[in-house]
Amino acid sequence: MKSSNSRRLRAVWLGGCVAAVAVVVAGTAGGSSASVSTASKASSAPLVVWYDAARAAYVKVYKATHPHANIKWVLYSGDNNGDGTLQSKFSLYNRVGWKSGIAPDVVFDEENYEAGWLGAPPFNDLLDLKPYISKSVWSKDEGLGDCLINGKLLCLRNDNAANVLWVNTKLFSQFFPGKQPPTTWQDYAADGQALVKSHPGYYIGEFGQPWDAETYLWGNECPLNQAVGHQTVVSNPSSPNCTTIAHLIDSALGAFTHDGPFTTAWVTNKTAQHMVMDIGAIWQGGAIYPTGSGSQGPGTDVMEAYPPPVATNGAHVTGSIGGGLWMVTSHTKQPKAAAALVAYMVTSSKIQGDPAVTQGLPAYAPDQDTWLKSLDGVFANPTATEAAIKQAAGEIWTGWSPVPWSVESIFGNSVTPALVSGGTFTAALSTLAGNIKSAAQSAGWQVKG
Amino acid sequence: MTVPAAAAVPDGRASARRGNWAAGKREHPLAGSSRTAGYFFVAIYVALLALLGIAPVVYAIYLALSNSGGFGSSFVNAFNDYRFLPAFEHILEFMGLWLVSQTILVVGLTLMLHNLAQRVGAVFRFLFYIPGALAGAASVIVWLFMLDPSASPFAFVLHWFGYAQFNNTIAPGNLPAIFAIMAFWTGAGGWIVVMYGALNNIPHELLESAQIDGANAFKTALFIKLPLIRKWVVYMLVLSFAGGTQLFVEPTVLGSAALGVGVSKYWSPNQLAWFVASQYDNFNEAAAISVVLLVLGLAIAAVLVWRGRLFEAE
Amino acid sequence: MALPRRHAIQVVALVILLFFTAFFFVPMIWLFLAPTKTDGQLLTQSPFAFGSFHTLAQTFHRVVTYSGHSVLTWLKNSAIYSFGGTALAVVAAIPAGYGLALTQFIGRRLLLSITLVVMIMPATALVLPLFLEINKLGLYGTIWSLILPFGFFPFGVYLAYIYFSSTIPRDLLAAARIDGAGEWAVFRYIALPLARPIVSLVGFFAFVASWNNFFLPFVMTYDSSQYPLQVGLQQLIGSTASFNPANFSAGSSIVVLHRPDLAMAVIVAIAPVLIVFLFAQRALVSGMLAGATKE
Repeated sequence: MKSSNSRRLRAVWLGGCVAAVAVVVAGTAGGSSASVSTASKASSAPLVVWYDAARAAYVKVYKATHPHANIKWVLYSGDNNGDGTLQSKFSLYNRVGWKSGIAPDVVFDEENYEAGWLGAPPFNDLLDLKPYISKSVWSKDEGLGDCLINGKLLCLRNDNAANVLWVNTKLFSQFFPGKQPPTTWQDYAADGQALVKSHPGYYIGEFGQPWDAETYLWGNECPLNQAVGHQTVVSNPSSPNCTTIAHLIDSALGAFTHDGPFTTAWVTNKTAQHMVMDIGAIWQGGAIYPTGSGSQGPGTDVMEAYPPPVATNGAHVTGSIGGGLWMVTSHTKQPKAAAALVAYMVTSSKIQGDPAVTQGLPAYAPDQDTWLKSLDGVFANPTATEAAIKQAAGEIWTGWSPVPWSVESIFGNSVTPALVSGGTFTAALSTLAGNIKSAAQSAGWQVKG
Repeated sequence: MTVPAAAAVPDGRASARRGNWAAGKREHPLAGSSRTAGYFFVAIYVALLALLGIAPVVYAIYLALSNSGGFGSSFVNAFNDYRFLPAFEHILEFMGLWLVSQTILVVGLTLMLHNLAQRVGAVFRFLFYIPGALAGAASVIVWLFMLDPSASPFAFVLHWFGYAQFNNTIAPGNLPAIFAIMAFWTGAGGWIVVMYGALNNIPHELLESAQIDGANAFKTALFIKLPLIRKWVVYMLVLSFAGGTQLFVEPTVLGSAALGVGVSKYWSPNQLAWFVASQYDNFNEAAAISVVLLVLGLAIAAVLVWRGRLFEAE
Repeated sequence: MALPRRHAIQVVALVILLFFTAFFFVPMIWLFLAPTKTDGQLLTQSPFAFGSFHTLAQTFHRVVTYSGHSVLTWLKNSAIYSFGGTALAVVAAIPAGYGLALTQFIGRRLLLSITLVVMIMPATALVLPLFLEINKLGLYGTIWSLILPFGFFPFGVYLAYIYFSSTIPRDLLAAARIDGAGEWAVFRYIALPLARPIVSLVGFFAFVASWNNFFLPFVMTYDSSQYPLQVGLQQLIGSTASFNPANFSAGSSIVVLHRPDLAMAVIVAIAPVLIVFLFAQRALVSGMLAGATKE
């Protein structure tokens, strides 16, 4: 009796185990059969394109103009604020394999330095686009300093995010009657000092944002993040190009707001209406000055773009904030199709010429005039604004390099906290440099002073 | 954090009884049972345990020790990483704040609730317990707004602390406290419910006799009720500790929502392990960090278990 | 004029209780009011102001339809991973707890000790080796890469062990065995019918833990089409204008999410757990106390 019971028990349990194994195997088989089918029909596997929320309108246009394209569109974070999604997923794919039809062929990246990360060891995951896109096309793409790395073209720039001097013409003429907006950093700081005395509560810029380094240091040729040769970066906080600009900003600290343009404080304090001037990217113009509940701005019609201030060493340069990159992964089975898609996204006037699709200045020069014309009636003094934007677009300093660490992140978590609690930019310089050095060394880079 | 909202604690009486019959094996009630049957009942669990509990530990240790740089070099790399010590400091500070405040407040609030009328207490318990449904990313999103002086219902408190904007609130020095508040907010209610249940199991006669002896509510709580739920408190500490060392999602999500201000991507040890693995493709150093975290977590939990004389059933 | 001391203490206690009620519950009220407002109203009106049902409907529609109904895909993924993991956890833990409590076999004590250790082990520290292992097994990117780890739930085994060792009358089992019932029959017809509270208790904990898990699916999924809601929420933050400046450079023709949408997404994400919580409180306490301190 007992033996029959235990036999029955064994049978039941064995059955259970077999069933469990079968389920697992079925699951595995399901996974692998999917991969087998995609591998055997490699040519018919869809092109996988990762895009971010802000590029949704591009996808719409592409679908409308290429109704038969076999593409799997995947929305992802865009690696926003350097959240590391791409690095994480790429390093995982490098372990599990890049499955055609599942792993991405084309990626849009919001972080402008990341081609220098994902295209370098240990990743090496980006395709050199030179064999696939003709030079007559890519050479017209501005801001390629972020893409041309060690002789390879690892991405195309989507938009040109050069910094300009945004001026609230109404406030400026009221507070500085008879004066022209500043053309140099010294002028700019002097206006700030005057404003602190005459109109406290009004501002000439932002301070304490993660992209401060890209505004003030990059814009003054400060060699804090300058790649030179193989895995070597120059980071010299005591260079006059760095210390002078830091002193100038410190001399007018009261004229810089701590409210970030994307924070709730910016809206509730109506900070946008208190910005007499602001140094910011081209795309900021349409983003943070409109009226209405989203940004509580003064209205774009009072804003005019001026050329960025001339550097303290006399150079006509500017920094750049944001703007995105189109990249093709080196593991793609369809490099031609992938490169063609990237080229279309970057050059098509249906996308880049239409502000309903994109609010950033096209990096592709031939599309710029169409886009600029659309600014007529949006900003004050459109001719001058368009000229200033065009000038800034060509002045981005190439000494601020795409590297495998995020200066914005480092700035945000090591420097910003000190700045918003009353620290000076001068003191922040060495903290920033120290942290860049640590991050660079961790990534296997040499750091020169 | 994967801290269970409530949990069972071993019962001394049951285990004592069990210990007795286990000692006298000859009169074992299961004497007639098949010796092999037990294996069948635990089979699935043992398979999962081997595959998903033990194998990863062994693999982590193997990874941490096998490195082209030589035996143990992953640990050296990890210790020398400039982010290593801060990450562990952050987590220790967070754990200290959280565990102490949670212990005091959960016990205190439970004792207070136990003095209220049954129905009133039930309402409070329910209100405390509901946030437990929000964990991880969901609770961070809610607290993004609670901590923002321009949007928060608690704005007056934040202003009182002198915080004018979100970036002031999430200053690096505040982060351990902020994560402790989030953890307390989601976890405390469940524990209060459990402790309350334990208090209800105290025999009425005991409390009545205390009252007859002239003890007031306060003294009853302190000298009668508290010792009776001591075990549950230790139990809460052990499970909270295990959950707390794993901090990952809160700093990750807070960091990305704060545009990278204040919270680095390697704030906690778990984040750092993930960072070196995914950003430098260095799984060896990541494994070394994980092993350190594992050993530290287990050691302290073991002390708590041992000092609290928990799990003495076996 | 001084109040009697007892009253003073009661007043203090009441103040403390009200303070914590505000702490615990105000964020919940805020959360459920936020989607009724527009982004501007959310920032300018009182946190406790109610917007309108019309706005609420619009917010809901925007979140649900966002990016080809991504939220619904994530909801479905969460459900598959969590229900799969919970089912496996229950199927593994209940017999295991029974076996550990009421049968004899060599290695029982060892298994029990290992279970206790694994239970308090910081599990997320093992996500990376687990990833490498799952990949070697060829399970990466399949639902099993999540269901199997979710199904491994030592805490549930421990709960079941405590329950069985303290609630099942041993005499009953002994009598059944003497009557000739086999081990399986004893478990199936005697222990299991008495185990209903512990099944729901283990199920509750396993479900909540699986649903709320972030790190594991964050690592184990190929792309956003496989995300569960917890990971999807993080992506939604990146799609929200105020939390990602890049969205300000988007063309005017597309829908961009705002703060109230994010609050709505949180409500969708927590709804299943919230419902379980609402109905589980009593069962939770009685089931657990029955398991732990029954005479």
